[in-house]
Amino acid sequence: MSDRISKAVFHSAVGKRQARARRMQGFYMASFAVAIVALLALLYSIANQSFGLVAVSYSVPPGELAAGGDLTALSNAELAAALNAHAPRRLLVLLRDTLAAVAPEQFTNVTLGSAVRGAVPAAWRSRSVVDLSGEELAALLAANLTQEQLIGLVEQEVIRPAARQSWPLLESLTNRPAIAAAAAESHPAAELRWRSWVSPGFVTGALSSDPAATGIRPGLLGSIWLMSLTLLFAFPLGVGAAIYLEEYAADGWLSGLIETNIRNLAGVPSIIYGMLGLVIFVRALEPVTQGRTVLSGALTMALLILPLIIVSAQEALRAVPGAIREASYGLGATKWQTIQRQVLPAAVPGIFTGTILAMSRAIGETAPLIVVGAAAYITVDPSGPFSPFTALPMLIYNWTSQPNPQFRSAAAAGIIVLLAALLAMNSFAIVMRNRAVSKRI
Amino acid sequence: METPIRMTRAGALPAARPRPRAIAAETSLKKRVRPVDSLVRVVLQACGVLSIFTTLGIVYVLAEQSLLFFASSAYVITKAPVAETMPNGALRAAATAGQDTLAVRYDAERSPYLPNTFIQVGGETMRVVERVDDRTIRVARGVEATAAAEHAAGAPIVPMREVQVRPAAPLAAADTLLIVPASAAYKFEPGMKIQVGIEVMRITGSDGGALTVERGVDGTIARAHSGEDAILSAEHPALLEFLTSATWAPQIGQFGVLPLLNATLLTSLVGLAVAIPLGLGSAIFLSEYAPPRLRGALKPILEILAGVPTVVYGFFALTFVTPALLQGAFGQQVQFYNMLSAGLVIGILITPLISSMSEDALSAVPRALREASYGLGATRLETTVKVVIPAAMSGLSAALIIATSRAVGETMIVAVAAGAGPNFTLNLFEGAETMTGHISRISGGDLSYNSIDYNSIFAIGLLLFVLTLGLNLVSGHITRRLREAY
Repeated sequence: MSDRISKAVFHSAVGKRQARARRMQGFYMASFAVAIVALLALLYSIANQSFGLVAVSYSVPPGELAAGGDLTALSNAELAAALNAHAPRRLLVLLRDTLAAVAPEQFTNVTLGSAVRGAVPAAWRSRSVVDLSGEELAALLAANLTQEQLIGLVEQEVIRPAARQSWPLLESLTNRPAIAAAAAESHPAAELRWRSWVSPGFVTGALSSDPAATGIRPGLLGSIWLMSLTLLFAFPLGVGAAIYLEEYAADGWLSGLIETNIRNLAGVPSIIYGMLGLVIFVRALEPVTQGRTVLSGALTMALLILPLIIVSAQEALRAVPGAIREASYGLGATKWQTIQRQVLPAAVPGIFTGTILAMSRAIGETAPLIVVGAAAYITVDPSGPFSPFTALPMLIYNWTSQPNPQFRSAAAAGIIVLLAALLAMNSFAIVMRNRAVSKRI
Repeated sequence: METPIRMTRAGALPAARPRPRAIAAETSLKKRVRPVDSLVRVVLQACGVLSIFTTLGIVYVLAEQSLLFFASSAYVITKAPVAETMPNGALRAAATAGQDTLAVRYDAERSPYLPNTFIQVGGETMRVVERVDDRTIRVARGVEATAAAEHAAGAPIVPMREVQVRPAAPLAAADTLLIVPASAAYKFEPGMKIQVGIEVMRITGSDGGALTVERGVDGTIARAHSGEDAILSAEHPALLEFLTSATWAPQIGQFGVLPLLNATLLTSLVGLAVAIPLGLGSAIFLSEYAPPRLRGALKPILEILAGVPTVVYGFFALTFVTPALLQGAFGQQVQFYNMLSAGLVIGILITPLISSMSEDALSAVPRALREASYGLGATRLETTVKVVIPAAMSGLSAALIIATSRAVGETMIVAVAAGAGPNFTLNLFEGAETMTGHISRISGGDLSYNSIDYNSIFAIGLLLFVLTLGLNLVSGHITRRLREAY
């Protein structure tokens, strides 16, 4: 060879190349580490907002009503007397909301005996509700409600806790004296309490304009309704289309077009599906769907996840060995009999997994729901396909965008509920997938 | 009942026996009509074809509503510039009729000639386009129906202010003559539609300031007007203006999509700048360097990142990234709603997408290529960078384009963290609304269905759809064309 390099040059070159290789390996590992750090930062930011100290002020401090603020030490009569003393005008409404035996409009028109459920003294049976004095109303409440219910009413009407300011978790854990000083300065009448924004009350409560009292129940129910209806529409259509494309369609231009079409649809932004749903389901089909209802939202989401279900069902059907089909034909079965009895049962786990993954994508989608008209604030729970609705991600979006920083804590709590639901669905899918793999072996 | 099989030549089958008719019917091999099978086939075919209807539906809906948008009019307050009484400056040098840049001097400390204001020199009205420096301005000559003319040095410049054009006299319900101030008469031409109060009229003739009008057109009812309401004239959004104008202000009839498009592209670029190194680096690490057990443990982490709903990412951008930017890196120049934090979080969102698609592409490169490279003495890095990546380039490009399409279509992160007003700026620290953020804000609000603001979201949506569809098609094309056959 004419150009021979010296050993020394060769070895130094190798050394340099290997050094560069080690540096780049460090870079590649670092980029992966950055992704992990981002995930951890995401989880931290959620947890940080969901727990912390809250400065709570009261209209009437509990210490004024009972020694040490312990309301359970009071009897029913004392609790009802407190209600009468501090919120006398509300007693009639409370009686109606808790003990009415007739429709609210009729409550003041009928006599006590028929208006109120529970124990009514015989002498009062023929009087009307509006004739009763405050003490008499309080006595009725004390006699017919449990202590727990009365404590709830006293907290709601008399004590009226209001969260004046909240602090994130990290600060609450590390900087408590400074927080106590700041709270004493800006909200002198408030006391500092530890609060978890995620609580059973949060999950089951109704929406409220006060962030500390708001619940997420309408969103949870709305999401459940949406997911059920979406599954109802998308699953048969998606699996049917996948079966057609895999088993029936000849390799002609039509099936090629459909397949390209489905791949492109999977990449269309979700907000475009929202606009499609708005024009077709909310406006054009309004006689059928009644406008901005659960049904319109579910149909829109079904269109959104249809390409995902089709693609994963196709993969599952493709994974069924051809030998099974051939054997079935060899025994004289028709095409549909083969599909129905051999191919589909073998592909069901894969189809199932793909559907659950598509649903977990759908549960987190907000943009199409905003366009189709999910409400941001709703007072009644969705009760059927034709009721106005809201959904978990919609509520989270709404709360995140509010200027009041306490709503961010409510949003963080909502995110925890959403992520819990997602985790449950994905774990279910993973368990199904593992069981299917083990069954096949 | 069997008859003994007669042996014929080897390989030949015995002759068929005639069978009883009943059995023959059951075991006949003739093709039987099976209605269930045919029905099932038709149903399944319908399901398959439904997807085409979805695409057609999207295109039809967006196109139809966009046409409605371009065909509709927004009625905006007619304003005409009116000269003030005293001049506030003069030309320093003579100006010819075609000269755009004028040298000026003025009495005030700072230049009173702001962009988009009007000035009058001699009998000519000009609109200030730009303040070049303290003593020079660039103008549009001869606007508002005046003619550009020559001016001598020292010619006084009179500032003008815009006033709303109102009818000069009250109007009864049956009057067909509408008097407007003579200085604004040039704004109204025959054939135009104007709106006074809630009534729309069409101008049929114009004579100085006296307009002959047809009352109560477009379904509105002629009524009396006191002369206090301003006259609104119709502005049509035009396609060219839509695509090229840099002002989005529906209240003055300006529908230029460039601010929204600019914000979309900026946030996507920032996202790609974050995601390409992170995603590609993670993919290389997972496919080339990580041992299989570690890879099995680490891949689910990326899948978790991919499964987080985008509204959670929006929350993360607003509550963690923005304060971190504000307090940490860049200080007070960062606004609360800014494109940078939205872009960074979009990058985190699309990193798993790039990573998984790149990893698939890298794994598809056959081992033989790698082994050959090692055999020639290359280090692992050199093999990866010089052999594997070029071989996987089609898959990597496809991944890149799909990720761009995802970033462009992203809604929730930008809706929460990037700001709520269109803003044509290159400064990433400012807030600016993207196309998707605008659509979600308008459709989540209270606008009525057929107002021009509402229909504008469909035009934007059509643009967005064309953009993402184009990106997806290009990606599919690249995958097919450049795929190396191994």
